Amino acid sequence: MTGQSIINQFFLGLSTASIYVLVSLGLTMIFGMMNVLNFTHGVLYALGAYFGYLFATLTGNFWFALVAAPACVALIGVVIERTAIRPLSERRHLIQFLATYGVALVIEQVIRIVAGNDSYPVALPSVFAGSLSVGSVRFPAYRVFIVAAATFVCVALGALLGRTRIGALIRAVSEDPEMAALLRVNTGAVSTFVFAGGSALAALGGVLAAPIFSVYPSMGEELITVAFLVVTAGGLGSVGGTILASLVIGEAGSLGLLAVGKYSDVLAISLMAAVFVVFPAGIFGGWRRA
Amino acid sequence: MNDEPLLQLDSVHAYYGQSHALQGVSLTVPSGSVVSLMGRNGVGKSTTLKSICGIVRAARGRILLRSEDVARLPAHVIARRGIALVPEDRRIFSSLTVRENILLAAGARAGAVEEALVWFPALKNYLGRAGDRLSGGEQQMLAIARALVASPTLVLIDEPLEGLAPIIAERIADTLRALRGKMTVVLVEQNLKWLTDVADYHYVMDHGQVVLHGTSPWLRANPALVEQYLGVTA
Repeated sequence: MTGQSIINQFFLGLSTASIYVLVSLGLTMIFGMMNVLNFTHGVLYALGAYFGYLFATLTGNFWFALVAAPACVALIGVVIERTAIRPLSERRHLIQFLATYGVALVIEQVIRIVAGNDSYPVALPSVFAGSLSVGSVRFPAYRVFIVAAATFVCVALGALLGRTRIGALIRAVSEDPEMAALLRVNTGAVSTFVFAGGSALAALGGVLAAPIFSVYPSMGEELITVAFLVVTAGGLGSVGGTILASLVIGEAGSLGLLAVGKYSDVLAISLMAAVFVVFPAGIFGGWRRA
Repeated sequence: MNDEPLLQLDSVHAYYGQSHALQGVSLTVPSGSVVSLMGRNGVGKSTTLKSICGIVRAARGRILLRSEDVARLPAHVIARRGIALVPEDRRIFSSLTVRENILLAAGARAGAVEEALVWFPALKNYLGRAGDRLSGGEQQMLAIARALVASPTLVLIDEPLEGLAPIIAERIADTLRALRGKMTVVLVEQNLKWLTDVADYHYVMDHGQVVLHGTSPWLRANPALVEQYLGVTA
């Protein structure tokens, strides 16, 4: 184990964590706002990857795919929110879990019917084919882009939530939807907006992950487990906790490869379990509503 | 005072689960008037306010705002019709600053913050402070300011003086007195002497119904009846 290999693994962990951040931020925002456990989130990530693959193949333009795929998935998110989430918003979490898990299964089967069970390798955009060198360490350009994109999204989301009117509306509705309605806020429209935004973030994660992990029908199932681990460890509804937990699990999986080889996932999950022992409500506790 | 009724409740019933909280409440609020709801704790005063603004559903009966039945409309639509509520527990958004609380209520209308400061100049020092870092009195000022900057046609105010230090309560009471003639107000408050001074007309409630109603002079002239339902004299 050399210093260079540690730096390389740390950076790979950072880029994987960036995907987790994008997907988990959407999930935690939806929970913080709507108090809903949304198990369709994984399949929305997969849909993002498939739409991204489709648009990039049809147009040959990765940048178009990067914008169009999240937009399409946001629209699908609106349909899911209106038909499957909103009617269950006052029900117990178990009911919400069963309903959204059912929707996720249906969408995954639709993906299998339309696109088949095969895995599709997605070519790296040519602009990201090389690597960036810092001293003697070389970083794959596409992974640098993923980290930069996730950082940009975090900063933009922070500015949206903290400095804009829509951000104030989102915080108000998250905290006390009834009082927000008494102040003339259409809380349903704000919830739909957040659900669409969360869906778009999951899809963006899917588009960005596709060139690294390929595109296959069960990719959402695999990620939703990690995403739920991240948002609960971070504190349900906590944006800062979600970012921190994403970094912990991403780095544990990546640096763990150097320490324990193929058991690195076990190390990552064990770390998360330790987080739950020390912080039962998650690292930052969250904006959880009673 | 204009005699045209702005608000009419016509035999309104409401429930909390199996509990029959409102059992046929009927009352009239003329435009431009200040009307009070009186009664012991738990008789349905706050529930009446919540039914008017749509956060407790009226199971039966009509709630007419300028002749339009708003009883089945969502709360945000009723609020857009011009009804504002200052709830008993204030419900200031703790994750928003004082300025953000005001702007949210005003729909980001330019000049809303300055308007709120005309009503409550003391808030000027706290505009950047988070809602949960205000004292009870400051929260009450903000809660009332938040309702007023929405330019409502009807303001419902639930127990505005409750739990406040006397000097703060007096300041808020002065502001509410200043509302007389400027907008239509329905007040719920335990301070009977203050209510009879500030309100034009009073409805006394018991067991989810209106059992007495009359002007301040009438209440003062019937102390036995008032004591029977309120436990105090006017």
